[in-house]
Amino acid sequence: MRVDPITFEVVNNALIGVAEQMAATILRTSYSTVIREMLDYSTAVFDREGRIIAQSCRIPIHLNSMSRSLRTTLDEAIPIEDWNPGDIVITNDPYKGGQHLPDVQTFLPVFSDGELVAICGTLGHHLDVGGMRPGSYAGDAVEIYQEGLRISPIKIFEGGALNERLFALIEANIRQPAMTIGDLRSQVAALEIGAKGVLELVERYGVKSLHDCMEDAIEISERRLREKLRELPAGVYEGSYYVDDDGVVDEPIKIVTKVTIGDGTIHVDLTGTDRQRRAPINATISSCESAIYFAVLAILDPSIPANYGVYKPIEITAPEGSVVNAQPPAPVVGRNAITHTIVNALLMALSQAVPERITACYYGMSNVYILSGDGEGSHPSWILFDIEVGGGGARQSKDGLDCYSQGIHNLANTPIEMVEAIYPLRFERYELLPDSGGAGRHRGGLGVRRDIAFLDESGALETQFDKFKVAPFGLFGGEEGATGSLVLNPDGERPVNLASKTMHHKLRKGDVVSIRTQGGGGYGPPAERDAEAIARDLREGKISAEQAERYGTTGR
Amino acid sequence: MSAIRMGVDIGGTFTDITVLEEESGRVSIAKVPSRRGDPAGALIEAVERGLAEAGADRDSVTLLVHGSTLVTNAVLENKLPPTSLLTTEGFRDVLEIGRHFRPDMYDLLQDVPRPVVPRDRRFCVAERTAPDGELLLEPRREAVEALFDDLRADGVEAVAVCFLNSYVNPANEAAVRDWLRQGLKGVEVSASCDVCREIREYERMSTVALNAAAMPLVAKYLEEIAPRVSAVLPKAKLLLMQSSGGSLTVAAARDYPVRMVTSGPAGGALAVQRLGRATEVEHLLGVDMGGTSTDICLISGGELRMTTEGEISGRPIKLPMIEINTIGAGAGSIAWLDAANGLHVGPRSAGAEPGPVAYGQGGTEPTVTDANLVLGRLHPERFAAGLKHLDVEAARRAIEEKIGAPLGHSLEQAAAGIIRIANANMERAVRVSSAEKGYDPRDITLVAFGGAGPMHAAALAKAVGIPTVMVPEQPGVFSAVGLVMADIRHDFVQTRVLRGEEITAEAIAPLFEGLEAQAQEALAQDGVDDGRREIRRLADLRYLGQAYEVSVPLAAGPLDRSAVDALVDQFHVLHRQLYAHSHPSKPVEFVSARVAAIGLLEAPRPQRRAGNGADPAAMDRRPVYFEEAEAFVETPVFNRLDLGPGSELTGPAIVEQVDSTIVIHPGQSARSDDYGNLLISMAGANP
Repeated sequence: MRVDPITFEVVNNALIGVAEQMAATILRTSYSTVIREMLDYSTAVFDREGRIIAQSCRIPIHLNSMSRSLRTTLDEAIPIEDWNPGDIVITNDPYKGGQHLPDVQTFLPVFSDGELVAICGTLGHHLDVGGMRPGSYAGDAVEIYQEGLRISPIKIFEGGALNERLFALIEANIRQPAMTIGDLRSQVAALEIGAKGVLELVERYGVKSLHDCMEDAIEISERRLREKLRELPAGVYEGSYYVDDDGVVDEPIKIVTKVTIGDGTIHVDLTGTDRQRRAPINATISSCESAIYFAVLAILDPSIPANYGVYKPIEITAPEGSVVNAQPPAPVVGRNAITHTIVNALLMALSQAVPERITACYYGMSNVYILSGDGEGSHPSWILFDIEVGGGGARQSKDGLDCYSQGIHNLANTPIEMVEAIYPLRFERYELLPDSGGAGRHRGGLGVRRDIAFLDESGALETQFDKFKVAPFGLFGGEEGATGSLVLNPDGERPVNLASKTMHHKLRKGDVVSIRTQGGGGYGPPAERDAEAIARDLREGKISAEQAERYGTTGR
Repeated sequence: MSAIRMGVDIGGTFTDITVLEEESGRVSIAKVPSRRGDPAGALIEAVERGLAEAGADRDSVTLLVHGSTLVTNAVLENKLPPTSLLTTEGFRDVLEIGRHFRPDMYDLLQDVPRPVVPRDRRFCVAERTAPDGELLLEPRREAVEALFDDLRADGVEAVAVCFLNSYVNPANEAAVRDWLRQGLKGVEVSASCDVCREIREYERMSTVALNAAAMPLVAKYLEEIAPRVSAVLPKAKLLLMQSSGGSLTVAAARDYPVRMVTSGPAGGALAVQRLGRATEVEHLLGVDMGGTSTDICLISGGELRMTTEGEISGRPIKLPMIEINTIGAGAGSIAWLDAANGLHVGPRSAGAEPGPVAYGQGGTEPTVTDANLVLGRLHPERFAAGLKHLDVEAARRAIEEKIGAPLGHSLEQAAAGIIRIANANMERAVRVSSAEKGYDPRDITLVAFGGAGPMHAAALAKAVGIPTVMVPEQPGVFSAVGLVMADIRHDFVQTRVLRGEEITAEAIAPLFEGLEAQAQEALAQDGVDDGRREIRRLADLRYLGQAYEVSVPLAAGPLDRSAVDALVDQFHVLHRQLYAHSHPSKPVEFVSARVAAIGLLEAPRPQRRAGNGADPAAMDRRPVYFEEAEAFVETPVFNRLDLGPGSELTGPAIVEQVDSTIVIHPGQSARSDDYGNLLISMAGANP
């Protein structure tokens, strides 16, 4: 180690504190519900070479996004020697290290006495970045050009001065400019707070100590992950799993993972995975890597600080032109169907190596739905972007969690009263779905039902759901969780089942959209379930009497 | 004899009592062991001891303020009585689903806290209110009555009621509440519109569910203690401490027990506030370091900072409470190495049992106290008034073996490292409570209390850039002093979302008028005369589209156009102060009106004392390790009792007293002020 362990611990804590301070600024001052209620944003501090050191990341899929984007920006667009004090670089380009267009990233170089000492970064999911559909979730896009404004890395501030023409260009290309621009301002404010925090550390410990601490942080995380890997039985573990369809062509998409654990190394090979689609389901390499980094860290040791060091022992092979390493101009906004499925495939693969550390399959999708009003009635046009979660996979020692964020995303729901106060919508139901958890010695978590009445004159619904056909798998004898569904007017005369990837379905006043999310898979044979747990589930109405019979009991 | 006020604080180990003579401002303190299973017995014993200690007549005691962790512990230990919940049809699971955000991103094996009311005790009724207050569907009385048997099945003692959008118009909720009260005899009923009339259904539901569940518990407790208190203190009014720093009458405590949930550290915050008002220091940061945790609070301009975003074990409580940042770093925090030999301190604590290694009670893992002992900061024989002998050798061995050897560090380096990391943990929390709130550390005085606070404060202040540390006269029991300083307080809130042009005097004035009428009513019920009533107004504002509000104080007087303009201007100023930017041209949204009803109890100020400024003589000297010297330095040790107003000390120095030990580093200096506080100056020049 370059610094003594005590200074290291103190400085490292402080760097994480800086990232958290940036995050607090964004949370408190942003405008769109996507960021402020759903917490879809992240912040980070990088060393002067652009390697990630500390992050306040609330969403695992953001783990690697900023790292890759910054790397690509430095290598392909704006070399480090062209960054000057007061510059801020902006990008959202999925083919320059990003993941999908709504994730707008900003980077600020921190200088001390003319010397670059660190880079601060933020990522925020913006409500709208243009394109053919509100919320920039165009389920029928066949090329990225239809998905919205693509901003290749460019300086939005230069020497402290805002590039106003660029701002105007962005404003002219998006639907809700006030919100997006407001959120951008809050991202800029966070960068400034971050720079201040880094400079305080420089003042106290000096540039050299700070850099030494950063180097050490990387080394320690790498070492800890390698040690953890050495504890695992070396071998090859395989897991394959499917996405329902791409929303355009009704064929499942296969994700193949082959995990090779060697002496302090792990190789994840996705060879055999299906080719990229002409539908917005594809994942760029950045999305794919984030999913793998998350799964490996969560399964092996959640306590290792996630920085550049943990990326090093993980080798990834993702065939170019496949859905896990899409090439332009493939559309990518719905990449999470792929990334969630990668995580679930890895849970399956590693269940053979560390059955006590994994879960059965969880609901498996960031169930995105976007409701919008087109402004034809008395309301000005509006967009609501929201996400719902489902049941967690059961674990070796306990049940899966009912309706709780899992896997590569981590999102809070938006309070019903807040939505109703702002949008012409009325909720009719928000309830757990009995029997949706896969039966097992430990039961899979329950999905949820959310019914929303549309009160505006006319508008539309877009969704990016999955696991409507491919059920969340159980493990070691545990049963599958329930598939999800989307029903229009469930209690009306003619309920209509909608597709998981619904595109611009017209809504009229009084329509009710009913979302039923997926349950988690069970773990272990149902016959081995504890009688008391079955009785409790029955009492609480989490399983029905019929379901109880599948456990070989009537519960009485 | 002058009026006497008493404060009693029932903690896990000790029950502390504070006796305040109102006229002279004299404070005396006593301690008795707490009794598990018989808190009331310990309370009465403490009262008797306090009377004896102060030589006071029981008939002259006018007030007994009680700080209780009854509700807190019941929540933390999952021992709340069985409770039912009645909510809008279709929304049975809001309480269980919560916000479904996981605090730990990676841990696949994590659990979620069980909901306060399990699913089989949650029931629904067909009813609906629109977000503008229109009653879309009124509940049918027969439907509610049909649920009576279910609601009280299995020995349920309380029912919570929370309907969607009841914060706008509580008519449906209030009607059902009244039917339940009439029909369910012997069952406590609590409605969300009475407890917290605020937007965000899950947070409001969580608050009212906790309130209902705590009601039977608190009712029973009060029934037990109230007559016993009046038997020993016939003229005293009994009040209970709440999380907001105000006190509650017995009747209010029965109805709103959830207000007491985080009242534990409130006493310390009030004591700091009192000190700030007496010494006229503008910004004070209270750092209360105990055995397992440290509580940090900021007092600015004599006022406490409040928040409505509190929680207890993962369950939100949407009520005003003193903003206190609690971190798991205390004197008993355990030092440990991770797989990569990274040194950490806490959050695990050795607690009182087995305690630090030096206690010799079976503790094997080195703690912060062990490190302080090894470095010579604590005296092995004089710790805790000599009640505990500390085993220096055992502490040395543990630090050497568990930390020093694996790191290749000397014993001193390892021990100093433990202290540095414990301080760094606190430092982060101090920044959150000061710099991040827009306060410049150079303008702040750090008030160090709790048994361990004064040992760490000087190093902590230096690291954060705070120029002065203030150590009160009795830092170890300082929190208990705060209890007797509490005013009576009730908080009322009503959400009404108004945008831009809609924010007018005509729209806002009736909101405040309604709340103020409730406030006056509550104070009248508490028997507070007009002359001792204070009504405070706050308005929660945000920029249109933001999700979090800033609470802006509103002056008393007529709510006319200029008052509304001033309110909006003040919002921009506060937003800038808090978040470093503001947008005076952007539309503002009004979210909630808040009114605090205060019954002033006229806390006497600490008394000034004259002194000759004589410099005390050291009682002995011993080697103490200071990191800045990287060596043990022969250091004079003083007795706090030998310090009088004006006494001056130069660092390095140790000041010992019965309830704490103060460390003054090389290059620092200290002086006693006229209130008996010791002021440590970082710069060296006397403050």
